[in-house]
Amino acid sequence: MAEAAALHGTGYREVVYNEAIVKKCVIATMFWGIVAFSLGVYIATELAWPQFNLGLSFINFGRLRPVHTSAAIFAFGGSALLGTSFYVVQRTCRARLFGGDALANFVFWGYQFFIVMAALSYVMGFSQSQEYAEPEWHIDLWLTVVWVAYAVVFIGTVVKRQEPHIYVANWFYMAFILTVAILHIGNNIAIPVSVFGAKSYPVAGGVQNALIQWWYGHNAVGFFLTAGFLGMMYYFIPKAANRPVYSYRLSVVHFWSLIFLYIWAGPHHLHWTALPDWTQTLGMAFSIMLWMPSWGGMINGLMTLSGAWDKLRTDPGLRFSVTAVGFYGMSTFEGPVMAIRDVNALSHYTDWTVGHVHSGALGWVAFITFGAIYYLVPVLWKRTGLYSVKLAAWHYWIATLGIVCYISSMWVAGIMQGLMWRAYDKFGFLQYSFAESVVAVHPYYVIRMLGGVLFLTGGLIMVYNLVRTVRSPNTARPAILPAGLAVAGE
Amino acid sequence: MWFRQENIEKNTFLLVLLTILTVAIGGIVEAVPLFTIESTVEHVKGVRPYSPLELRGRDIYVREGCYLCHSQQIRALRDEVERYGHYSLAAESMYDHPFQWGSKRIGPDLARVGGKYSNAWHYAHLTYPQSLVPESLMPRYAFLAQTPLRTDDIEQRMRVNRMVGVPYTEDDLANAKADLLAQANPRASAATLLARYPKANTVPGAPSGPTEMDALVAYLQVLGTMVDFADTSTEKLQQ
Amino acid sequence: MGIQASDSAESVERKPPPQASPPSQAPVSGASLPSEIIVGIMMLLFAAIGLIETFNAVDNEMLVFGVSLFGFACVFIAGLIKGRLGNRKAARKATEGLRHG
Repeated sequence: MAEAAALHGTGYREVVYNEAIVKKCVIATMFWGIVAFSLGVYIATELAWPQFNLGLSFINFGRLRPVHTSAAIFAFGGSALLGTSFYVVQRTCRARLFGGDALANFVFWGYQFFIVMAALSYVMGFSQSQEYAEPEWHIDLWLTVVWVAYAVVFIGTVVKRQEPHIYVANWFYMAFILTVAILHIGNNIAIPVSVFGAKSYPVAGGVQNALIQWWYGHNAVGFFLTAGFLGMMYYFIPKAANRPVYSYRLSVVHFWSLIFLYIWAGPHHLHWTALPDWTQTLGMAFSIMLWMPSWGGMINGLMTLSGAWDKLRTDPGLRFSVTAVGFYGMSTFEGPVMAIRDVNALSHYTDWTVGHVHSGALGWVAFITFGAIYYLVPVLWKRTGLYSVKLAAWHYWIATLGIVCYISSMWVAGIMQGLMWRAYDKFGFLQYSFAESVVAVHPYYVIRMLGGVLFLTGGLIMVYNLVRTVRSPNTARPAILPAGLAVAGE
Repeated sequence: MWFRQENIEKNTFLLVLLTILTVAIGGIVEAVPLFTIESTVEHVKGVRPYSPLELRGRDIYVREGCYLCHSQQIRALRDEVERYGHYSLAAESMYDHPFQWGSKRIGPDLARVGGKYSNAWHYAHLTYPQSLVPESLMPRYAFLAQTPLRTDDIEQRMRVNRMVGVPYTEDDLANAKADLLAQANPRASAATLLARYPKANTVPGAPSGPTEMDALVAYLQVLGTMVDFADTSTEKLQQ
Repeated sequence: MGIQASDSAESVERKPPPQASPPSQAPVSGASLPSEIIVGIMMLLFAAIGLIETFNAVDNEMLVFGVSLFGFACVFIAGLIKGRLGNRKAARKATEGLRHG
C-alpha cells in the first residue's frame, strides 16, 4: 500500500488506525447539529411568539432551553471533539487508539447515552439549574465514568505514541479533557435526596455556588468550546492548506498562557452582584489579559495560510475553518470588552450576551467543525472528494448570512434593553417599564429566529451533500490494494 | 531543565501534570477565600431557612428553569435599585442551594418580588401571564395548579439541606409536614409556623391538598422580604 | 522552526527499523480480549445498577434512567459478544485460507 511504501526505511511501524469510531462520531455530530439548530429555531420562535409554548410543560422555553444548549455544546460540539480528537491523536502519534475497540466504543456510545438521558431529564422536569451543568447527579456520575474512559483512551494513545514529540493539537485536546473533568466534578458536588430519586442539592450555596458555577461555566466555554476546538484547528487547517503551522513558539506561548488565564475569567459573569469586589476585579483583569493568548491563537491559525490563500477560493471546507478563526478573533475581543465592569453594567442580563455567545458558538465552534468534517468525510469514506463543492459554498454563504442576522439583531436588542432599563425621563423617573423593553425587542427576536432558520438550512444542505458524497458512485475512489494487506479502518 | 517545553512535549506525564497545575491555580485563588473570608456573607439580621412549603416551591422554580428568564439579583446600580429595591446581599441567598441569581432578563428581576403582588395576582399570572401582562413572553404554567404537591419526602429534603449547611433544627424537621400543610391552609393557625419561619405567607391551597402552584407562590411571596433594611447599618453591609 | 503537519516522515529521533511481520499475523482490528472483558464487566455492573434503580425508583426520571441504563448495558454486551464471535469467524476463515491458499 502507498503508506507502507512511504514508511519503508523511516523506522515507523505501519499502523492501522481505528477510523470506524471517527465515522460514528462524524455521523453523530451532524445528527446532533441538526437537532441543536432546530431546537434553537423553536425556542427562538417561542420567544418571538409565546403561543408556541402551547401551554405544555415539556416543550416550554424553561424546559427546552437546556435541551438546546446541551445539544449544541455537548451533543454537537462534544461528538465533534470526540471524533476529531480520536482521528488526530492516532495520526499525530502514529498509534492506534489505546484500550482496544471496546473501550473506544464505550466512550462513544456511553457519551451518546449521556446526551439522550440528559435531554429526556430536562423535558421531564429535572434540572440542577446550573447553566451547562443542568443534568442531575445520576447523569453527572455517568458522564464522569464515560469521561474517565475517554481520558484513558486519549492519554493512553499519547503514551504509546511512535512520534516522540506530542503535536500541539494534542496539548489542546488533553488540556480540554483534563480541565473539563476537574470543572465537571467541582461544579457538580451534590447530595441526592434519595439514591433512588433524581433530585439533589448542591453542597455549595449562595455566593460561593455562584462563583463555582461561573468558574465552571466560563471554562466550559474556555476548555470545551475553545481549547478542544483549537486542537481541531491546529490539525485541520495545516492539513487542508498543506502548510505548516505558522509559528511553533507562538503555539507554545499561546497554549500555556491561554490555559492559565482562562480559568480566572469566571467572575465577569457576576459583575455588580453580591460577589465581593476583589473577585470581580480579578475576573475582569484576567479576562482582559485573556485577549492576548486568544489572538495569538487566531494569528497562528490565520497566518498558517501564508502562501496558500488561493485555496480559499477552491476549498469550501478550508473557507469554513478560516472564517471560524476570524469569528474566534471577534468573539475573543468582544468577550474581554464585555468583561469590563462598566460595559458589563449595560450588557449583563441583556441579549448582547446571547449575541456574543452565538458569534462564538456559530461562528467559531460550528464553522471550525464544518471545516473539519468537510475534510474528514471524503478521507474516512475513501471518496475522491465532496459530491458538490458548489453546495458547500452555498452552505457557507447561507450560514454566514444567518450568523450575521443573529448577532446583529442581538446586538441591537441587547444594547436597546440595557439603555431602556437605565433611562431616566426629564423628571428623574425611570422612563420605561420592563414590559416596554420586551415589546421593543420583539422585531429583533423575529430576525434572530430567521437567522437561525438560515443556519439550520445551511446545516441541512451539508447533511445532504455529505450523504451524497458517501453514497455517490461518482466520488468512489478506485481501490488499488495488493491482496492480503489490511485496509485502514476495516 | 525538566520544565523546558522541548522536554514537556516529549513526556506525557509531565505535560499532564503541568497542565493540571496550571489550570488549578485560578479556581483555588478565587473560590477558597469566599469560604474563608467571614465577611463575604454580610452580618445582617432576618435571613432564615425556607419553610417546608417555600422549599418545595423553590424546587419547582429550579426544575422549571425560571432562572433562565428571571434573575434574582439586584445589582448595585442606581437604576436597578430604583426599579427593584435594595441591591441584593450575599446573605439573602446564603441558604440557596443552588443559587438562582440568573444570567438573563427576558422577564423582570424577582429578588424582591415578595409582597409586591397579591396571591391572586400570582395564581392568575402563572396560569396565563398574558391575561395580566399582554406583552409577556412567559409560558403558561396552569399545569402546576393541576399537579398535587408531593409531600412524602419533605423531611428528607430538609435533612439534605441541613447536610449542606442550612440550619434546620430538629424541631423544624419533626414538624416539616405539619408546617407545610398549615402554610397552605388559610383556616389553620399560623402561629407555630410563624414562630419557626417569620414572615412566611399563607397561600390558599386546595381541598385535596396543596398543589405545586401553592408551593411556588409561597416561595415567590417570601423573596426579598427577610432582611429589614431600615434596621441595618452600612457597616453591616460591607463584605 | 515550524511544526510539520505530522504525517510527513520527519522526526528528530528514530526508532530502529522493526522486523517485518507477516500480514496474516498482524491484528487488523483493535479487537482486544482483555479490553472487551473489562468493558463487559463494567457493563454488567451498569446493568445491575439500572435494574436496582428501576425497581426502587421514587420518581419518573429514575425509572426512565434505570430502564434505559439496563437496556443500554444489555445491548452493548450483546454487541461485544457479537463482535467477538465475528472476529473468531474471520480468524478461522483467515487460517483456513492460508492452509488452502
